[in-house]
Amino acid sequence: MIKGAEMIVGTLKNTYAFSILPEQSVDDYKNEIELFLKNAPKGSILIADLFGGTTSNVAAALSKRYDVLAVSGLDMAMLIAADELREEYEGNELIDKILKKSIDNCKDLNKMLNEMLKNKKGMGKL
Amino acid sequence: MIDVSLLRIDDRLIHGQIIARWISHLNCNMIVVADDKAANDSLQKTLLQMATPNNINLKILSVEDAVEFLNDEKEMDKALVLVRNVESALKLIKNGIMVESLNVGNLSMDPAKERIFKSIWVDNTDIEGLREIESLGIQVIIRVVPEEKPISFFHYYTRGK
Repeated sequence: MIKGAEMIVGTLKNTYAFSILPEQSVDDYKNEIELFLKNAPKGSILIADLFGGTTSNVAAALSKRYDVLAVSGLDMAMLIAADELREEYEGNELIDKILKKSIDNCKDLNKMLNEMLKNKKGMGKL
Repeated sequence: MIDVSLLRIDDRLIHGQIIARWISHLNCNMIVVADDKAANDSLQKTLLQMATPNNINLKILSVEDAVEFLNDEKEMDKALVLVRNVESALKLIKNGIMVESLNVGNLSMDPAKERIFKSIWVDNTDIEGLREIESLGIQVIIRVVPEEKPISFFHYYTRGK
């Protein structure tokens, strides 16, 4: 995902990925991230994938113990938004903006295209 | 009495496989986490509640309280019951929790244990406990998600020996 995003926006600085292996214990995974968080700046963002899944459960648990922001629903739009917007915003405002970017990124492409084509007919030749 | 539609050992408790797969497959309306550690940890209880979909009733109970709750004649729910380890599963079964099979889901990596399947690590005590469960007429199976075919734990375990 990081590599994919970097193809679009260039190097993502200070962005790290922690994958949980199928056999890895939750505590082990949590400790791995925790070791890292001890040296991470205040207001760092934890982005988990599936809400209610292990990554989001761990991110939520860590957000109680460290001064970090935690969200779930990781997708590329969210990752890129987090990278860009954290320069400018912080705290709840930053999180709201990141989540909105991700939600706005979900589109019904068939519907969108059909509506645009329909409108185009009404407008004559573009 | 609670209709236990699945009894599963899973040390991740409520997580992706449970919320994205098992709940809808079982069509249950309740999750019972039978675990002493979770029952005594308010942060973990909150995290488990957060991870549970809104239409699912969640009970987090000590193993002892879970026995009482699951056997309660007045309770009519259909539940997925999660335990963290073999010991808790055995305790539930010995105390009258009726199931046809026991699902061994995730028993995470432990250097002191032996890996017998992708996400299942056991030691001799676990094996003894699981053997006892089988001797009580309950099939011990491996099935990480419902899309997979159930495999007999001991068929798999002895084949590997």
